[in-house]
Amino acid sequence: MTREVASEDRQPLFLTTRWSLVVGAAAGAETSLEVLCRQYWQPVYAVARRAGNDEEAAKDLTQGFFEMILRKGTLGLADRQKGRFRTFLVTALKRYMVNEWRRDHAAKRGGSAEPVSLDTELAERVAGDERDLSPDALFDRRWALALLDAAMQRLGEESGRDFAQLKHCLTAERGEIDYGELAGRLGSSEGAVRVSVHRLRKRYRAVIREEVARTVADESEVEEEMRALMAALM
Amino acid sequence: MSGPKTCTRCGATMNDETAGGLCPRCLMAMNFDTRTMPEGEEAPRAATLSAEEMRERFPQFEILEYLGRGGMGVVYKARQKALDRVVAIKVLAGEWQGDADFAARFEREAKTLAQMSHPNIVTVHDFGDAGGLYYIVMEYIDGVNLRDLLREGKMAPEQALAIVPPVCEALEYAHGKGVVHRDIKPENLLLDRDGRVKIADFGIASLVGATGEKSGTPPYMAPEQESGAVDRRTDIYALGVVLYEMLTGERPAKDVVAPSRKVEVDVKIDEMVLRALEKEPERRYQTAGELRTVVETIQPASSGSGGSSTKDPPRSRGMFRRWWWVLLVLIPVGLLLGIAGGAVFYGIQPKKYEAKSVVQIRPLDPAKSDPAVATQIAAMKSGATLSDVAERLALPRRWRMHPEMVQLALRRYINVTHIRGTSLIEVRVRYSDRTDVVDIAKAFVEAYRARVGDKVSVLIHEEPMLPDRPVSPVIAWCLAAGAAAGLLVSPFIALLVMVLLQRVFPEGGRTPKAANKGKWGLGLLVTSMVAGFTLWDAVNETFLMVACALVAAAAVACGIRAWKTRLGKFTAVVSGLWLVGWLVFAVGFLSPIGSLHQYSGQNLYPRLEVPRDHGGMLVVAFGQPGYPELPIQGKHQVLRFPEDGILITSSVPRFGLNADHEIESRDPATGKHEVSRLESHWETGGTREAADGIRFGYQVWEVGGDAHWKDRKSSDPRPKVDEIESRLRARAGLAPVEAESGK
Repeated sequence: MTREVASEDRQPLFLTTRWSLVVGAAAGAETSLEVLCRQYWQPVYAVARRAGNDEEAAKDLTQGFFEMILRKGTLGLADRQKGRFRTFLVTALKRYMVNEWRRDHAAKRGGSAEPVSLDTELAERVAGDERDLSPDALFDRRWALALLDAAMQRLGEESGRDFAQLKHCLTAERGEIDYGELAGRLGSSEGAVRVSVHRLRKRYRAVIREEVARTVADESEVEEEMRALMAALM
Repeated sequence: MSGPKTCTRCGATMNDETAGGLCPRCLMAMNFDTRTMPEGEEAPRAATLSAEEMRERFPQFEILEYLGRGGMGVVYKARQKALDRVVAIKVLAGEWQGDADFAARFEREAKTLAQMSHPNIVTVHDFGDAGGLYYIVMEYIDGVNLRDLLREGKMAPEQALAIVPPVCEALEYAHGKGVVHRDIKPENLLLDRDGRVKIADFGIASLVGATGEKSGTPPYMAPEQESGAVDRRTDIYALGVVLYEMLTGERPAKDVVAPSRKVEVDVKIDEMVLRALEKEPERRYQTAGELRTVVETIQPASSGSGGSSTKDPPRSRGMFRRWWWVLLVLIPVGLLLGIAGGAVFYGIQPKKYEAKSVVQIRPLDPAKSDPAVATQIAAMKSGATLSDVAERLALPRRWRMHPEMVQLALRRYINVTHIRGTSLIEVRVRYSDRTDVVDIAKAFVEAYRARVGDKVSVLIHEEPMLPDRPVSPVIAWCLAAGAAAGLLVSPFIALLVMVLLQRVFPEGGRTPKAANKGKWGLGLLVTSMVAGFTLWDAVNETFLMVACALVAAAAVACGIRAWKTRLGKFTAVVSGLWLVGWLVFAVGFLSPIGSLHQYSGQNLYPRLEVPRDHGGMLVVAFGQPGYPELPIQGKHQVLRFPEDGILITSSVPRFGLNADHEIESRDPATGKHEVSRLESHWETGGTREAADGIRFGYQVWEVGGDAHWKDRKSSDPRPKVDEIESRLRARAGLAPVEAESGK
C-alpha cells in the first residue's frame, strides 16, 4: 500500500485517472499511468521476487521496470494487450525481465531512481501460501489483493472512523452479525447500524467496480476482469 | 502484527495487512452476489444451505449435487423420490417470509410458467416455499450453458445461427402466452447433450425483480428496460446481444460495431444483428418469428442426413482425405504388378535368339583374288546349303516339316550380310531356340564349307556363341514398359477404388491417427507381399529377401501401433504371419544346403543338391544314351551329389553351360528347355571319346558361391579326367580303356 502518499494527493486524481485515458493517449494519460503504476506495484514486485531475486534486486527490478514504463508508455505492445492494464503490465513485465532488465542491471545504473515508492517490507509480509502459484497466477493474485486494498482504502476514507468496526460486515454471513452488540459499540441504534451496513456493502461493490473499470479500456470488460480476479483468488 | 490466518468460511489465507484484514476471497466473492440487504432488513443469506438444512427443508428430494449459483438463487441437482426422476431445484435467494404480496406473485408466476410446454423451454415441474425459502423444481438439463461455450471463444457463424431459430420458436411460444423472459442471456440458454437449446429461468426475472431493483443483466438489457417498459421486443434485443456475442466473442459496445467488421461473417448477418439491437423497440424485429425467418433465410437449416446436392464438393474432398491411403497402397501394387505383367509378357512371348558367325572366304590359291562378296553370299544362301543344314541337324524330323518347308524356314532365319569395308561375311541366325540357333549357325557354315571346300577356304573369324539373352523381346524393356503401365494405370484404379469405398462406406467419421497407421501398415504389407511374389522370379537376391522382410516388419509395427482399430489388428496379424513365413523361407534358402533353383513351372527339371562343404567341385558327366541313369525319385528329380564328386546323368536331359554360369538342360524328347542358375563361378569341361567309340562329356564347376576360381590355388585338386572316365566305364559295366586325349 502506498502509505507514503498522502490521501489529499490522491483524492482529486483518483477518479479521473483511467487506463482508458492511457490507451487513448488522451489528456491525463501520463498522470493516469503513473497513478496506476503506484497502485499496482505489488504484483510486479512479487513476480520479481519469485524470479529468484533477493529483496534488493527485486526492488531494483521493480523500480527499473516502472521507470521504463513511465518512460515508454504503451509503445511496443499490441492493441490487444492494451485492453487491460493488468494484462498490459504483466506482458510488459515479462518482456522487461527477459530483455531489458539484464541490460539495465549490467549497466549498473547508480543513483536509484524511484518512480514508485515500494514498501517492500509489507510486500514480504503479505506473501502467503503462494509457493505453488505460477508467476502469472501470482501476478494476478497480488493484483487482486492490490485492488482490494485500494477499495478498502477508499471505503475507509469515506466511512470515517466507524469503518474499522463495520468492515467485517462486508464478508459476514447471515446470523454472524450481532447488530445489537455492534450498535452498542458504535453508540448507535440497531436500525441505523443495519442501514449503515447495507450502504457500506453497496458502496463497496460500487467502489470495486470503479476500481476495476479504471484498469480496463472499455466498460464491457469490467465483468470479465472481475471474474478473472475472482479466479485469481481461488 | 499477527501472522497469516485462515478464513473460517472459505479456507483462504488471510492477513491483517491486506484487504483491510478481511478474507480476500470472501470479500471479492461479495461482488458476485446481486442482492444486498434490503434497507432495514436483515442481511439475506446468499442461500448456500448446508446439506443438512436441504434435507430438512426438502424431504421429498434427495439432493445429489450443488450445481451452482445464479443471479437469482442457487441450483441443486436432486432426485425426486416419489417419481424417481432427476430434477433441478432452484432455491431463490432472499427472504420473503411473511410477504404475502410476494407469495401471491410467485404463485401466479409459477402457474404461468407451468403453462409453458415447449421443447425449447425448461419445463417447470413444481414450485413452493419451504420454510420461507421459495423454490422451483425444474427439468434437469444435462449439458452446458451458452456462457460455457462462449468462454471457449467465439463460435462459428453456422453454430451461432443454428441456436437462434429454436430460441426464437420458444420465445414466440412464450410471447404468445403473454410471458416475457426479461433476462435472456447466455447463462440462461442451456444446451443439452443432444445439442438442443433450452431457455431457462423464464419469467423469473420479472418475479424476482419486482422488488424494485432493476431485473435482468445490464449488458443484455434493452434501453427501455431501464424505465420498466418491458415487452416481447425486450427479449429480442437481449437475443440480439447474445447473437452478437456468439459471433464476435464480445458484447456490443454503446456504439455497436457491425459484426462483419470484427469477424468474417456475411453482411446479411450484420443487418439482422443490428436490427435486433436497435435502441428503439419500434425499429427492431417486432416478433421472434420475424427474426427466425431472417435467420433461416441466411442459413437454411441443414437436416441431419444432408442433401447430396449441396454436398458434392465437400464430399469429394472428404473422400480424398479419407481414402488417401488407397493411393499409397495401390501405386506400389500397380508398379509391381506392372513389372510382373512385363515379366509374364516376356515369358510368354516367343523368344528369338541370335547366333552370329563371321567368316572370310578366300581362294585356295593365294594368287587368285577374293571372289566377289556378293557372289559368295549368293552361293552361301543357295538351297543346296540349306538342305544340307536341314539334313545335318535332322530338322525335318525334329520340326516335323517337309524338307521344302524346312528350307523355306531356314531362309527366313538365316541372314548373310557383307560387313562393309572388309571382306568379311556375317552370318546371323535368329531362331526361337537357344541352342538350336547355334547349331544352325555352325551347321550352316560347315555345310557351306563342305560344299565349296575344294575351291575356297572358309576362315571362321568368329564362332557362333550360345546366346545368353534373346534379341527379342528384351526383358529390360518388357519390365520397364510393364512398370510404366502399372504406374500410369494405378492412380486411376486407385481413384476408382476410392469412389467405390466411399460409396460402400459413407461418412465414417473422423479416423483417428491410429487408424492411419493401420492403413500405412496395410500398404506396406501389400507392397511386401507383391514384391515377394512377383520379383522373386525376376531377381533372386539376398537383398531382396532382406528388403521384403524389413517392409513386412514395418507393416507389423504399423499394425501394432494401430492395434486399437480393426484394420490395425488385421494388418499386424497378417503381416506377422507373412513375415514369419518369409523368414522361414529365407532361412531355408540361405541355409548351408545350397540348392540350385530353377525357374519354376509345370516342367520337371532336376534339382541338384550340393553340400557346400564338399570340396567345392562338381562334375557332371553325361554321355550318350546307354549310360545308366542314376535312380531318380520323385517328380522333381532330385539328384544327390555322390561322395566321389562325380554325378552321372544320362544324356537326357542334356546339360549345357554358358558363360553366365547357368546350367541348362533340355529334354530332346519334349524339346522343353530349362535354365537354372548355378552358384559356381567357374567351369570347365570337355568331351572325350574312347577308342571303342564311347563318348562322354563332362563339366566341372565349383559350387559354394564363396570362392572365386581366381582365388583358388593351383595346387587345389582338380578332377582327373582319366579317373572320371574309368569310373564312368566302371559304372556302366564297360571295360576300362586307355583314354585318348579328348578334344
